Amino acid sequence: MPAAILTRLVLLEARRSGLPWLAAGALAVGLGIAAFLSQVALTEGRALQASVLAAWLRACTVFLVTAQVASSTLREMNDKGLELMLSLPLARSTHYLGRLAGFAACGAVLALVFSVPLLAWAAPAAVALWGVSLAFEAALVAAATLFFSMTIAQLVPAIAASVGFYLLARSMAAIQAIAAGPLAEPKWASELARPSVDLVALLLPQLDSVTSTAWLLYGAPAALEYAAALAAIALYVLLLAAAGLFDFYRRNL
Amino acid sequence: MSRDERPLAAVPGAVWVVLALSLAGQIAWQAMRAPDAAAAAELPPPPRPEALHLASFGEPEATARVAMLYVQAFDLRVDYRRLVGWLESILELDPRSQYPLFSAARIYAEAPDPARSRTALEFVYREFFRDPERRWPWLAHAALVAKHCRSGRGKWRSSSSRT
Repeated sequence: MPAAILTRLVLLEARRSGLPWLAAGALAVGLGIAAFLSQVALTEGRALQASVLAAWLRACTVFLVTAQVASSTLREMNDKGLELMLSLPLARSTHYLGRLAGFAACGAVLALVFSVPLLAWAAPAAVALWGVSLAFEAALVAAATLFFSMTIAQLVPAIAASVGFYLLARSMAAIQAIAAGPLAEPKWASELARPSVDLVALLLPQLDSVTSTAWLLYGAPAALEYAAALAAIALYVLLLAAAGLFDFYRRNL
Repeated sequence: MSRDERPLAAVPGAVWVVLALSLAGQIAWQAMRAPDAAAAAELPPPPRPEALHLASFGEPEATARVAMLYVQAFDLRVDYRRLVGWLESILELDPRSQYPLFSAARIYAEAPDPARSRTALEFVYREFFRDPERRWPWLAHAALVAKHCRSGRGKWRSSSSRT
């Protein structure tokens, strides 16, 4: 099956690049920070370690997936590997979705590797939910970065756009709360800002409700709430994949 | 359409359908999601100034102002002891900022509840002595609020339009 072969190639490339070493380094740094902070904490040492390590590993997963997807995609484009692949009897959708599946699998492996150490501080069920959520989040980041890399076709702008998109999605709930504050002056600018922010929020994923550190500290979330959050992420991955395919089909390569 | 682009007809129908459905689904999903009602929620306990310093990543001026935006997203029914705690931490983060004192003297001191108003005015009074050169306008305004806005029976003559 061609898509599965492409997925395997992406995973092979990730394994042969420096990604495993970077992941190991990120894990070592996170464990070091957590150990240091637990020494200076007066109370809640375990909670401090778990929360700091989880936040650090979540950020590292997003950064590593973004860098890997952008660099791999743009290297293939610059080396004319993309043209070579398209000369094969493969549909563009097979090519695009195969690569996306490979990057998502890469993110899932990272999520698994980063979840295991958390078992030392949190209940296995909570860690499992956190890890699955991180895998979904990594898949979304991979889809967004693949979309930006294919459309922008330059490394730094693609990474900047992906990271900017992620940070905006993470902070959108807070931005909406600030825009709807009761003390805002009734000026036309603030009147315009509120619906504008709400409009932007409609087009962004709700990343503030997934991969929560609170799950590790205070127990797993309600099943329905958890499933709804992951379903929303899956829907957004589908949207990004469709948008990326739309652009890819229109490319004159 | 540039030379690098193919016509829209080159996009398969299935991609059009999936794109339209997923976009509609995303918008519907987010539209159904209840917005966070910060105004009606309870203001969380104030962070210590050291914690805010740590969270600022070396940008205390920007963090202080963003924290003020966060605090002002809550309405005037908040617990004023917590509110003043937030204002103290933010002022500690950026002592030259006028924002916390402005908010205390011009907004929170004009609350209709005399006890809350007094809490805000006392905050302005306490903070004045730490930097009189810079903070005297807010103490002057607080004095005017305390003297002219209250009647002898502890009620406000006029309530602010903001409350």
